[in-house]
Amino acid sequence: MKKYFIIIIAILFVAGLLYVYLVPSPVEVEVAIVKRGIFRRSIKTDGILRSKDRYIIPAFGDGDIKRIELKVGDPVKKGAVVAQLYWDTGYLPLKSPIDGVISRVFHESAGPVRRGDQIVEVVNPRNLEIISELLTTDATQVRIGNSVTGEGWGGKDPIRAVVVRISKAGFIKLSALGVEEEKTEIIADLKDPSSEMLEHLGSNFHLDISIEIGTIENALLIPIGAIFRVGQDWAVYKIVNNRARETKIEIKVRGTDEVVIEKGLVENERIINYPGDLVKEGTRIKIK
Amino acid sequence: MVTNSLDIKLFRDLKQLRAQTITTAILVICGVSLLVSSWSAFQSLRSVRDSYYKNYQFADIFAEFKAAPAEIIAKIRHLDGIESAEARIVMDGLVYLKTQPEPALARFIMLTPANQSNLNKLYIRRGRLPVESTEIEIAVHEAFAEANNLSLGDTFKILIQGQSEDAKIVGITISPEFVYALNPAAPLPDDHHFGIFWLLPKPLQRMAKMKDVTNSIIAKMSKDASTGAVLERVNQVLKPYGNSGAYERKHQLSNMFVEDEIRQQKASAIITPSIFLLVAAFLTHIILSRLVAIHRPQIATLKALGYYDREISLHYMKMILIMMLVGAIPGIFLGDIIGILLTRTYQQFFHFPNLNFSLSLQAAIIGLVAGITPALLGGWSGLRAIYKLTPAEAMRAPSPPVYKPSIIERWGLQTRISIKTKMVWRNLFFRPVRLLLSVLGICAALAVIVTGGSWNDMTDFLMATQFQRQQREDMSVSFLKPLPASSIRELLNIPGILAAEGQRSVPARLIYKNHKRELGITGWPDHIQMSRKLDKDLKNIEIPDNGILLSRYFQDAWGLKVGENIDIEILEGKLPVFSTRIAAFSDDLIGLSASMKFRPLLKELKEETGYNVVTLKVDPIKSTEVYVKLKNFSQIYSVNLKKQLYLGFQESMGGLIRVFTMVLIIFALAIAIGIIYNSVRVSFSERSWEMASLRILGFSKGSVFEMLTSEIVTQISLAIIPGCLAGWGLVYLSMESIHAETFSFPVFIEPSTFAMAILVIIFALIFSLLIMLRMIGSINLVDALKVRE
Repeated sequence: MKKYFIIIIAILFVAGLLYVYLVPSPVEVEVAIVKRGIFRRSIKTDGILRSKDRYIIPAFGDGDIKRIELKVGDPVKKGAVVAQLYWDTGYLPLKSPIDGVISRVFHESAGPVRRGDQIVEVVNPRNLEIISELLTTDATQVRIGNSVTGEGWGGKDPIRAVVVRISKAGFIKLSALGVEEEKTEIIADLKDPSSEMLEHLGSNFHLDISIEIGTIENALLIPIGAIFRVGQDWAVYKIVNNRARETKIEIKVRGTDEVVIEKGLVENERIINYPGDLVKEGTRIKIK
Repeated sequence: MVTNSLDIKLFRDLKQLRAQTITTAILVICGVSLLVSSWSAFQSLRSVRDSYYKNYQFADIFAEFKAAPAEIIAKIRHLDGIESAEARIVMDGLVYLKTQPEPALARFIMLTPANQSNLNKLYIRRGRLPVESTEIEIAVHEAFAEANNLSLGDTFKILIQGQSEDAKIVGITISPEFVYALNPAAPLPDDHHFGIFWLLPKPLQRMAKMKDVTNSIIAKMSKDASTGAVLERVNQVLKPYGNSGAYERKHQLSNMFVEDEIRQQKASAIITPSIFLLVAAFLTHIILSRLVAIHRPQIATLKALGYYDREISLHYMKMILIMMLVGAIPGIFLGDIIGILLTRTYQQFFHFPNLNFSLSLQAAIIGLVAGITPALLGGWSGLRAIYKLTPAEAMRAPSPPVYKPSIIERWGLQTRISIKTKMVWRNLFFRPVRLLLSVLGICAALAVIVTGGSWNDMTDFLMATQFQRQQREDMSVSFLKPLPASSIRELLNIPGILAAEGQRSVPARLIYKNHKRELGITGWPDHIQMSRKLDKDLKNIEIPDNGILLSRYFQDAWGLKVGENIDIEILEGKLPVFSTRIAAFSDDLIGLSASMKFRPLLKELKEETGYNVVTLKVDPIKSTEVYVKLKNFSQIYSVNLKKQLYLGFQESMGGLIRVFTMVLIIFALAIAIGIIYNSVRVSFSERSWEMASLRILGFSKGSVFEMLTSEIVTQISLAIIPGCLAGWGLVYLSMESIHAETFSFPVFIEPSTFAMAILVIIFALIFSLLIMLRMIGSINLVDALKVRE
């Protein structure tokens, strides 16, 4: 009796070993949950803050001006003298029309100027708008009223703005990657800037902006990392009973971080994000 | 006359011991062949490398920088400790072959005209060096030429800095600078898509728009110069020119790989064969001591007849020597063959002028000695016993062995256990030394298999971690210079690109007290999905909002602590210097890394924006078009196809590792069968008398078989856990011995490897038992009982 007992144990042992050897161990994956939420489609690109009030102070006549001591960034009050032009009998002042800062100095050294020459530009740094150059293919998707977020200005909170104008005058410019592209300007007004923002922001400051060009309410969302091709269709790996199951899906809209599902998945189902090469149909899954 | 009779006896005895001789010989063949091939490979690799570097003037000092006036070379040449130096231009560009739709990445190197002092000389495989001509003549590295089937006279377009011109191949060459043709941008060799080219100064300067400008310097140090000091001086001169730091041969990319390989061959020449040969020693010991026991009467007779102790000992020594030589000599020949195969594999990766395998005499002698030594070591005690045997005593029956109460008796269990079990138990523990040796031998076999299997497991782990879990992108691009976020937007607008994440990478120097290190700092954006950093438990590491994340190496080697400050010098752009707080450490598997959040890094760089690396998720249907489109952007410097690299690696290295593992398993099987079979055989013959008695008493054949089986199964069972642990330990030790600096691999062995190891042993067991079964059946009961008087 004992002999058979031992033999059975031995056989089970060997069977166990064979199992461990042959059956691949479960793969660790990152799990994402299919959820419902607001899908925001946005364009992320660069933008610049520009002052809405920009005044270029010209020379009002032919004459000589003294050397301009003011530098870009210097604050000036309304009525302050920014330059002096010798005209006719004496030096007459060129005054700043607003409270603001010097944004450009066109004619720094002392010397002759003609009537109409640009001397200095003054801007109101508190009245700012965001300008962004978009590829025309992107611009056609933007609507007036779209909300804009600006980040990277140094502060914690993002700057909020609203698109007020989409310029119809396009132009051709060399893109960042070195290709000639058709672009146009999008202009957005700041919405409720905090006092901290007004303190620290200025004209020609760079922003990383995000323009929200559309939202879909109550959309079924999954991360873009989960999708892969099967033939001509898109699919994801659904986790069912700790195994990966290939599931075809129909995509309604594809964003840059998330994808809106039309068909194929249901809320709260679990899928694999960035499955990688180790995951196949039926692979056993170990959840991190 | 006397010797002749002894020799006849020798032949007869050896014939009887056929099976054991063969199993032991297989073991010795394995050990010796591995030793001989590894040692020879190590020697030939080393000598080829040394002579190549010497004859082709491989430089000692290297420096790459953005751009400096060509006259800077005069300053370098005058530095203390520099014997000779050359300035050249190294420029990356693209090459359009007619056989491939997409262009290949190319590194163009300026050829110094032959009449000036020449460093890093080219070895011409076919053709000649470029000369001035109406069209651009270039020499191509043979790795690229072979991978793409190029021949002399082929023309294609080359693209450098936006200028595209035709070039003609006039020579296929190699250089000591590129024994291993690796693109620094990609971690693994990819000869199809990356090539090295040499051309004359005029065309290169013209296309790169770098007239009288240099961006790379190579130099030879004078004999007694101190490397550190010379590097410092060179750095001083090159400081204003965007120098990423001069370095010595030790840190030159191609050389590093060659050095590593040489070191590994040396290590493997010592470790694995030692295991085999130790096991051979155990076996010899077992075999000889059994032989002496059985031949007692014969030895006694010989001595009584007048043979000297010396002669008899010599006779038996001859026996074990022949047993060993039966293995050692074929082992040397097999080693030759393995060496040739090894060299052929090397030729794929390492491009030396002549890498031929030649069995060095030194290696053959070492192999022979190594083959024979275990015999002498193992047989020592047996030979001594022979020596000491007095004829009179020997002719008597041996005094009954002393049996002390074993554990079973001491614990009073003897009534509860069956007779068979008691017999097995007492027999095993009667000779504890032999039991120990057997168990150790099986442990060795297990350890070897586990080691072999672990290579596969760890490579899979590395690949999975790198590519499945950390760098999850399909492609990544590097820009020539940092670009604003609109570049990412532009990439997203390309049909086929589904997602894009931008990063900023800058070369920097970390400084802490007296420690300095150059590496790249990566600035990560806030929401990263594709590329991630993982710790050794494969959990996501958050990039700290403030401060810097460094590899664990810096904590161990520099004594840094979280919260301390470290100084950073940025080695490009405005060359800013700043100090930052260490926020955390990460356990990188390979290489050293430094990470910060994108915005804080840019702030220190005093820049508003600038991404220079973008990772992409690409629609597989459009992947070729996307690749071609990306390659053709003038601002994109390189496009990395992760999947391609992964597959390329799997093909080349993966296949190699699998073959290596297979070989190791076969060898381990040889060990296992050797030990198990011999152990059972010896046990059987020693107790043939007892077993015959048992049979006569009425025990069935099955019972006898069962007893023998129990013995060997107990030995194996005792060996399983220590063996697996030993395997784990071996792997741990070999991990430690690799370049500890940038390699902090956790030992990762899949349970399936352990299962495989145990299954192999079981296979060996079954094999041996089947043979045993035949023998038991043929016990001649009458003869067996005649052994004792």
